[in-house]
Amino acid sequence: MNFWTSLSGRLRRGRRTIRPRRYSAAAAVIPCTPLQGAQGRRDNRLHAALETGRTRLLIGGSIMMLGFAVVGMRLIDIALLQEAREPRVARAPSASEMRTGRADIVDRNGEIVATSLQTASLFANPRKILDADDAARLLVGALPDLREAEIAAKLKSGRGFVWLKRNLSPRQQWDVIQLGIPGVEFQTAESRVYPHGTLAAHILGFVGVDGDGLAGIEKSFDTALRSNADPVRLTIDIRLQHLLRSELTRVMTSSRAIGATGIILDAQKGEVLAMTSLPDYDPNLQNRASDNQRFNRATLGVYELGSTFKIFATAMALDYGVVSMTDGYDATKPLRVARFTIRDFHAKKRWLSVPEIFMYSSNIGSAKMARDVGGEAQQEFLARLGMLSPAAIELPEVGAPMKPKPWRPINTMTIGFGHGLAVSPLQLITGVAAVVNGGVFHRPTLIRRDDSTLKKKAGERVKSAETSLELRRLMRLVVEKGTGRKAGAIGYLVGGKTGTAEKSGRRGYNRRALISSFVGAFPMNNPRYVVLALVDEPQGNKSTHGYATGGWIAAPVVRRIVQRAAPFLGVAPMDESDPAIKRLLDIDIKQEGPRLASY
Amino acid sequence: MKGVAIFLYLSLAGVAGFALFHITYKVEQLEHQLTTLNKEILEEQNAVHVLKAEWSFLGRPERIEELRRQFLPELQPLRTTQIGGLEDLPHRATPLAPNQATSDRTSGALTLTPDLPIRPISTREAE
Repeated sequence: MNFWTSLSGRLRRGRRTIRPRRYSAAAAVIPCTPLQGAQGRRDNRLHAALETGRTRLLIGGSIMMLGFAVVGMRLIDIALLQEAREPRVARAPSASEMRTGRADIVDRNGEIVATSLQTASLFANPRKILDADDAARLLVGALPDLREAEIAAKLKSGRGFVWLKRNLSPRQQWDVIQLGIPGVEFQTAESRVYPHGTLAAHILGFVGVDGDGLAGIEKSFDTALRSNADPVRLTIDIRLQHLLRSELTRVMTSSRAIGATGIILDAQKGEVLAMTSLPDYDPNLQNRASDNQRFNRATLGVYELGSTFKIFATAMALDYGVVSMTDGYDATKPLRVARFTIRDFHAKKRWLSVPEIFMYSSNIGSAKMARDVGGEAQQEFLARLGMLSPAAIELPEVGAPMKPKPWRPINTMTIGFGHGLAVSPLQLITGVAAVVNGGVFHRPTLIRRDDSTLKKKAGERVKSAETSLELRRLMRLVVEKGTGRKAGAIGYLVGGKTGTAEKSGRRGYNRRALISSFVGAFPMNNPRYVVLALVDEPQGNKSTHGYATGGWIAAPVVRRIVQRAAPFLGVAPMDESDPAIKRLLDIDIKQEGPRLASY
Repeated sequence: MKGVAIFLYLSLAGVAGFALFHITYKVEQLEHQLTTLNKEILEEQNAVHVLKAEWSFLGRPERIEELRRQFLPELQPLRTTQIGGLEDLPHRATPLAPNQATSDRTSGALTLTPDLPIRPISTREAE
């Protein structure tokens, strides 16, 4: 306020000369002034009023001036100064990366296994159709899978919108455009395409009509696939996947089995290289698949896998130091426990050493071995190998193992040879990988990670390296001389274990319904890959002499898979009779040992 | 003098106006071109995407196997005995004479390469 009064005062003084001229008229308007004194007073009042008016005018004018000054300055700023700050490079709408609504899924080599494509769907506005019959005839000419009567009826319906056919191929779309029927239009929408069809159906899963993942990787990575433009990279190799699937299809047909499953696993990293479950389905046409086709036998199905479990019983007994390789058990007579009788399929009816028990797949021997280890130690060991909890894989379809409750001594014994505990084939192969790779358990995975992150996720030691070597020797023995001879892919040092289990039905175990399996690893001097083949209810045929056991049905599959897969996997064949290998893997089978070792 | 100045100013204003309009039209034209190009790029990307999917479809191992059966029946899966290392190759029996090497290369090489005793994978393949 001080500022304003002093300013107005100064201006007033400066303009004093103008004032009489400006206000003289005002003074003249007041004509008669009766008294000199009164006129002087009036003059004074007039003067004061003028002063006030001038001050007010001045304040108003200053505000206006200030306003104009601001506007002017802004004008200068915009017109002259702002230009210098104008971006040197013009910003124009640039082509952004093409984005689909859902990222691709690729295999370990970058081959696309699932992608999203724009497809056109055909619809019509019947009100705009001129001649419904003619239009229907033309449309069926271009799209032979449509029914003419149905289309004609739709076009005559008088509604404003009818779908004619969804997801046309570009070729079909072109054909329809060529027809030039008014009232027939397209709507493009994104649809999920699986170029490899059935090949990895159970791993990939499928999406619903709205494009949300409903099974497999599509479901478990739904949010990542939606939000991220980068493809999800699987550990699967489609070449191996094809090989595995074709070999399993072959055995399924030849043995008239109801199902089959197989897995190829990287023993050092836990990466699943191939995994298939038969019968399978085409995820492109998933709504036509039956429940049986959609069922993933490799991860969701749990089975009592039989003799392949002897790998764990033997590893456990050796690791806890309950037995040594030179010990053995009496397997002369079937073993009676409670109301059960444990028999041997390949009965030798004599004392058997530990290698022999493994080689001839003696149930009696393995049961006794498990009994000597004890229930608690067995549970602890199996838990470490992931047998008692669902497989930790990136799929929603994971079956929980079926374990006995309570865990009685009889369960301990039957689980020793693979009965009484049902696990998924994936659990089995991960456990076997941990047994043969030197004793380190790796979580199975379907997602390929960089080597750097992999190193951080080192596996967990579950048993000693010495036991691992002994088990490798035993598994090699099975293929060289025991029940798994048919798995011997020459040059690749295959080792493994056969399994033949009777499926349990409502009335106990069924002798005719078998689960025949073989789990093998190669090369046995330093196992890099584990292969599992499992056939559900195979029937023996002429070429297997009527046998439907793991050794006759599943072992040859593994041999063929190893022979065909090894070149892809970069495993060079080696001389199996090489002295160094013999020294590493050969084993002394005691034919007749001290009977003292058993009871 | 005054007329010259006015003329100068008017012509400058004219030039400036012309330049302004010219540049404006040019920019509009370029922007249009850019939009077209961007659209084309997206279309091309889409086409590449479709082609990639088709390539994957055509490269199905199943199909390749069928094509192999039809057109290359001699091409069989690799057998174990067909794989060898460098150390499995035998040394040359006798070094080639210089003149012989140039004149008679083919037959010389043939005579000098005996049967390849591929590593002692002594056994035949099963089956």
